[in-house]
Amino acid sequence: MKKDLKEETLKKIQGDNIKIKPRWYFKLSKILIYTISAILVIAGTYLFNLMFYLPMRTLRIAEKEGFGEYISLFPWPLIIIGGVIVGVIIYLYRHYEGGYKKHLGITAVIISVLIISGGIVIAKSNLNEKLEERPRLKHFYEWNDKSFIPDKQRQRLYKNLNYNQPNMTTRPFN
Amino acid sequence: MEYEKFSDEELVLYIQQNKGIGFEAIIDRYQTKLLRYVNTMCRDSESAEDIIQETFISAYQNINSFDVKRKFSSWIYRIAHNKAINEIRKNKNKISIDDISEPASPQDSAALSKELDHKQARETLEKIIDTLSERYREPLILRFFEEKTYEEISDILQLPVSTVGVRIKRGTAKIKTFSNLKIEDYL
Repeated sequence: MKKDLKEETLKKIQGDNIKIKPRWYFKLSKILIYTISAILVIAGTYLFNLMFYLPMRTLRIAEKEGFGEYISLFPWPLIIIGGVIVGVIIYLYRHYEGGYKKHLGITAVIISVLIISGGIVIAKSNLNEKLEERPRLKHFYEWNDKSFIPDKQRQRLYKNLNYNQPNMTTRPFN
Repeated sequence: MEYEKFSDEELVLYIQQNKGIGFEAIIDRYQTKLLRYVNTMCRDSESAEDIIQETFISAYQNINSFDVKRKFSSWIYRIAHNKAINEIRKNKNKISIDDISEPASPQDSAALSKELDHKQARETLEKIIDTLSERYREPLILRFFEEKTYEEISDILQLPVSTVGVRIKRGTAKIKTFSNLKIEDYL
């Protein structure tokens, strides 16, 4: 050993006035991480719900049905955002919750399945309809519809209803 | 204060409760082990000393984040490991494969294993391990030089225990292709 590591380290700690970070700092960091994780789980579940709900909504307005039509209306770009959210959740779980002990693939599948199935359950429930009854959220759903449902498909379906530019605010769902 | 009777975790609890008093005992316990580990990882004794100093300072600053129900050695090795990896990535001063002594042929491998003294054998093994990619190098060093269990390696490298096992097995097989000697013959 070229230098007395112990002496030098202790001297540096004292000389540079290096302090031990207090317990509350770590508790606060943990709370912050849990909060961010919870928000991401809720946001991810809601986003997947939106993915499954938006085509159902459009089909209901256009009074159409069928799996083919459903797939043609699927808002694929939202999958990228959903994937990023799931990715961040997986990272946080592996990094801060000892999730590294489990295989990455298995962890990714379990978290994805939980969030996606949560989204499907919400989409199948009447939560979205209830939310849409609120004017502000109604605009949000309309904005999502216009932004993420493939335009061509939406126009085609709405054309049959003699709506050039469908006004969702006046169109009843049921 | 007599710190010898304390286990690592008890000592850390004492340090946490006494605002850093007793930290020098942690340095006493770990400086040689960590220096050996980081030296094997970096192959540069001067950088290794700096890394160890940074490791102890970081451990000191973050001592309150350590959960005394877990194993302290894995925690401090993890800090040293991260710092060593950062240093390696900064320098990228890997030893060329040409630096490794000529691989032994299967016929004279037995004779060679007798001829090699322990230190020389270990150095040869270190050179061979140096040529392996990080994914094999890290678990092999921890397993064979630091004598860590799979569970501890899993905590240090933050990998599943099964992955640690697979990497050690594959790394050992790769070493065998160099010299026909088993890894145990070097140690």
